[in-house]
Amino acid sequence: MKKRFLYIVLGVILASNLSSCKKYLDELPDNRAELNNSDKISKLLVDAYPTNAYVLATEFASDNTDDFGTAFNSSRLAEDFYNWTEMKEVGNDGTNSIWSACYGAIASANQALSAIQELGDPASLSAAKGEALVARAYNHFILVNLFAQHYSPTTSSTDLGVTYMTKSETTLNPTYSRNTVQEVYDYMIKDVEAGLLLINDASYANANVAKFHFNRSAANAFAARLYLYMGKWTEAVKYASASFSNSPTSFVRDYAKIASYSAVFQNMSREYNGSSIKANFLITPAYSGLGTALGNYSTLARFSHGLPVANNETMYAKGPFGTFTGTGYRLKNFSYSSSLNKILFAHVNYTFEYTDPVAGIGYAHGVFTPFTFEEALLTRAEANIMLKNYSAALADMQYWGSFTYTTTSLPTLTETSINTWGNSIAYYTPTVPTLKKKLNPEFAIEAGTQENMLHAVLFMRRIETLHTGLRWFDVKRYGIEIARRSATGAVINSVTSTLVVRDLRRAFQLPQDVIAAGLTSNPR
Amino acid sequence: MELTGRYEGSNRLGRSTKARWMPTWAIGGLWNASEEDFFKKLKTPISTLTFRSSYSLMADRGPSSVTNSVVVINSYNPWRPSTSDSETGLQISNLENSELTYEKQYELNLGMNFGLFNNRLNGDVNYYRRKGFDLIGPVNTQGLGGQISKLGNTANMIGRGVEIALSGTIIKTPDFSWTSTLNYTHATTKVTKLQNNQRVIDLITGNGFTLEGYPARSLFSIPFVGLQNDGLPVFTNADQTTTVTGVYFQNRTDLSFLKYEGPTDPTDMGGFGNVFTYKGFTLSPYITYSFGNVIRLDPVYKTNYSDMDAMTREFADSWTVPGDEHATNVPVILDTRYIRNNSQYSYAYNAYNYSTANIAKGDFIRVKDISLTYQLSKKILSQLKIGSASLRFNVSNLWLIYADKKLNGQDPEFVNAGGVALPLAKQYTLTLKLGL
Repeated sequence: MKKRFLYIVLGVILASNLSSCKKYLDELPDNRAELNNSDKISKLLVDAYPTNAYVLATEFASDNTDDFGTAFNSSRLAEDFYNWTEMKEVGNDGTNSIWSACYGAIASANQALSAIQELGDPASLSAAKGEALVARAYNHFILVNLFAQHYSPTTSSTDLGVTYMTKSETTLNPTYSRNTVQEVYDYMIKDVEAGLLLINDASYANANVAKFHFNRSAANAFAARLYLYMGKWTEAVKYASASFSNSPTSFVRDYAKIASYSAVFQNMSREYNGSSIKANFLITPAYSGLGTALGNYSTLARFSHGLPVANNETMYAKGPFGTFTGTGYRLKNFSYSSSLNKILFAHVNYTFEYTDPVAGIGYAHGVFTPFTFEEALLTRAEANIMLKNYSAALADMQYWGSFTYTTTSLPTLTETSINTWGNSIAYYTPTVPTLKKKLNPEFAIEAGTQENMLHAVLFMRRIETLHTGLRWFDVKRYGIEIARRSATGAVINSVTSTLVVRDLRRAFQLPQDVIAAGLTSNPR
Repeated sequence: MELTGRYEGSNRLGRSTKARWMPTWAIGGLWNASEEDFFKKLKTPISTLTFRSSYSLMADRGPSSVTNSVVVINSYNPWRPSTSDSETGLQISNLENSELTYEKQYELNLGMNFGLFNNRLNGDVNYYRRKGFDLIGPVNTQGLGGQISKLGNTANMIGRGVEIALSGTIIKTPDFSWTSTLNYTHATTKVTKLQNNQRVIDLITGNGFTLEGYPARSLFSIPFVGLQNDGLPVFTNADQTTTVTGVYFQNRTDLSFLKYEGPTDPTDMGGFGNVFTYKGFTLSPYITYSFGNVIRLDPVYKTNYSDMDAMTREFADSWTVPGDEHATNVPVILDTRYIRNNSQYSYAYNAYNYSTANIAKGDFIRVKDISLTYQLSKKILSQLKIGSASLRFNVSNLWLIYADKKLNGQDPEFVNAGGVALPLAKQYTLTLKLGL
């Protein structure tokens, strides 16, 4: 009896101690945050956007770039991008950084989504839910287009895509298998369709901050690009129109203001990517060397958009509106052809963030705008060409010309003028380059008007998205064969290699570390 | 005999109950053999003899940065191009690792002390074996959670060691005495399990890293073949071909081409101290020694130099004209013409910094400290009417008796971790002590 009493007393003491321990040990060990209210959940979505950029990788891999030789600044990373070879180096612009930046952003979106679910999906969080879904889709969109073959209705159900993450990782080293490209696109469409309706511009702190989040314009522009890349033209037209509320004139860039900064490349590119500019839908301030490599610096000048491309395929080439000089563009073009090989538009901005101003230490940022009004307009024009709504497409292209060029006597584009222009140009060869490259897409194109119109819109797209990395995806979706050329000044010395239609190298190899950890690599 | 148990809880791993509690225990025993009756009857010269042993499970919460048994979310200010764009946000700083647990080890200790000849000679011998498991180390993942490199309980390691300490009074007369102490420690570690695979750069720089089957903090080198007839260094690459600029420092798939140099921690070390006393004089030299580790020589080789680093002693031996490659291993100071034509040469020079040519043994014997003290005798003191007085002359780091010649003057005990640092300085001290 006495013994039993003793046990009871001991038991009570032990139990009370443990419960107080529980309370004590439930204290957070440091200043970490927990996602227990809607404000915190929305704040986590600040991190749902990639902080590293694909721009340098795709710009160097695309046909916007030639090799000007070892006498100019270079890096192994740049050489691997340019030569479509496997990445053996890491860096802010390396595939490993793009991979972890995109999947890191996805992790934040997923963490927010599961917290929203735990709180019972309240109406106060619907805007956050919409943003999380669209951001999740966008990060996967970057990954699947970079690391897989382009979407194809015939082969995508077997082509290796990327793993679509819908949950946070909770164990140390889990293994995954890759979804097919088709599956990834299906997931993205599901997320975008569900998220787009929930997005509310008023949920962001202010209009400037909204440019760093999926606002309605950015989300619609993303949906338009998603459908454009799938070849679903009607939807592409619909969402592109929605991105600028079907009113191009009220979204057109403030060209006069930006042009007033044209004395200094740096200032102009800063203004071009400004958050107060209506035509900018989504701005990405990435940790990247893209600002210097695609700006007026000697950095990576070995691989540049130089005279061979500028003269024959982009700025100075004869486009549907005629031939223009550097000052013919309202946002003037900068030529550093003699010293750096670079012929530039101020499309990307280099800014250095000082973490220690005294020691001069900090981070290099490359600021670029992945979704703009102009690009959405040209998306609509392109989709309309595929739908054979030529007059609508011509109107959009005409409008593009009106704000792109300074001339007051811009010729009016017609089907005839475009056909005359298109038929007068021979198909491109690497040594006799023209802006008319053979198109080998998965979908059918009619020779004649449709093809010539496409050449016109792709030319405009190339100029509009120059230095922002999108040309590579156009090359992929149109199955355009591109070459690696060594050049000196405006002279093409030799052609070293060619990327054929559906070349395996059109899908970037996964980061070395990821393959080493056991994820299926891309075939080579 | 002693048995202890311990049940420990911590909130450091976050609000998760899974990784919170950890029971540990220890069992130990001690036997004073010399106190036993039968031992006393043996009448050996052994005056004391004690055996000790213990076995324990110990746990440690690991590095303070690893606390992610639930997801760790912190606030941050994302960088934005202008202040009008700025906002505060939250970000995931560490993904959840639900498998996170304490670092643990089983430790076995066996020891004995003995005293001989009425404790004129004393000794202490100790052996330990530590089997660590669930140790926290880096692991390279597929990165689909957003972090390719993570930290978790991935490694096992065995540590073994012997510690011996002897001290004795060798000579003792009224005027003169000589006492001596000798310490010796032998310690080795071996990593028995490691989930990650490192990059070349991690294994060849600084303190190195480790691979399964090697000691912790092992240093590896890029195999250096020789100099070309233009003075550029040649190395063996991962594919077993020779190359000048082709070594990839971030390669982690093939590390077998690297040469294992040794651990950066010494395996054998200790000290030898003597105290000689003659009347009022005391002379005490102290010698330290250390063996078994390797040292990476200063990475001084570059493709261009500034005023600060252009005059290192190594360049005296550098390649200057064809034919020198047979006599020297120090590469040419590169012509700007080369650099202008190929920006890749920096890889060659960096590879040379971390090659088999730029490493030395860390073995050394050094007179660490020597001092001479003169103590005034009581007779004089009482005449002067002071309590005590002594004069002491002391020199530290006097003489490096032995070190690898390849160190070329670099101190084997001095590791410059970067920045500005002073090597071990020679110190002379004269002390006058008066006590009233």
